[in-house]
Amino acid sequence: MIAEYSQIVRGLIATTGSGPGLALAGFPVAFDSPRSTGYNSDVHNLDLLDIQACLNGDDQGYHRLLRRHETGVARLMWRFSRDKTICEELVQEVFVQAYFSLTRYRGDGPFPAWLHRIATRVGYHFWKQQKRAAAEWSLQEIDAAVSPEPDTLDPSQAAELLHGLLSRLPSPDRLVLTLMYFEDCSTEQIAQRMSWTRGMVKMRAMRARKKLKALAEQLGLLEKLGWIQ
Amino acid sequence: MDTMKSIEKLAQIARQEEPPEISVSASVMAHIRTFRYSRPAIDVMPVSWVAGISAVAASIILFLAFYAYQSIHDPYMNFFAPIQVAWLW
Repeated sequence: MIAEYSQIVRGLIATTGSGPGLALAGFPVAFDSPRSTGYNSDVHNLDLLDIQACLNGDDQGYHRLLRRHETGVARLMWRFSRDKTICEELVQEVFVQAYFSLTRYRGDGPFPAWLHRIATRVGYHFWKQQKRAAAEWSLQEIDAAVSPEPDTLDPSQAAELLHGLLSRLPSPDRLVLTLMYFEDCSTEQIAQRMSWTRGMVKMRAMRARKKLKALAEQLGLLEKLGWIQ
Repeated sequence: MDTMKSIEKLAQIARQEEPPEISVSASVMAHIRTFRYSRPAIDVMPVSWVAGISAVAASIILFLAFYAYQSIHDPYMNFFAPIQVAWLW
């Protein structure tokens, strides 16, 4: 389906050239896309065409964009809230914000990277709004998240446990470690997403790791996981 | 195992988690349409009326001010006028 559509797009690009405000041709083929999501130049072309259609008043263009990228954004927002209802609201907020900022997307980078930047800020804002105390985990909750058999730790349980641990950190520290641990982001990518300096992100990461280590030792995480040799 | 290594291992396992299926396309499109159509159209008529009335009031004040300025006399003129006449003699 995408391959057929891509062929049509290539034909359109060859005949019509680039649209106003968006560089349809001449973009780099190899992207620094967020994680390995299979994002390539064909999908980028589709994105640019749909954005152009949307800017010309065609809502279906945005609908197609949404369908194409909602899973990736939902995946990221799941790191900010593990409540499905809240996560849905956050994803919705991201796409509504993206719709009204679409004119600011220049088309020189992958669209998902731009979306994830908005998503990270929405998630960060959500954390800042929340009371830190309310989000803190108790020891009982950690016990509930840990499997009775330590070696068979489920990814979902591990994510729950890590999310709970990170929720006890201040929002900026939590954000840096969440993006590092869950999204495998480099310090440079985090700095780009948040418009922070790279030095600041490195410093935060170092301090946050120290805090997390102290917290894990205080809660006896290793004993609970049975990972003490 | 070192605490940080165990956290790294935990993160490695956590990255494999598949989040639940979330589909927001319909609600987002509905939200965008609602926002777009419910946004009140800006009516410039009341602003134009206020601007017009202000302009008329300002021009009346300017007219009156001009004539008032014309009729202002120097209060010292009465003292100096006889001297000037004396020089003529």
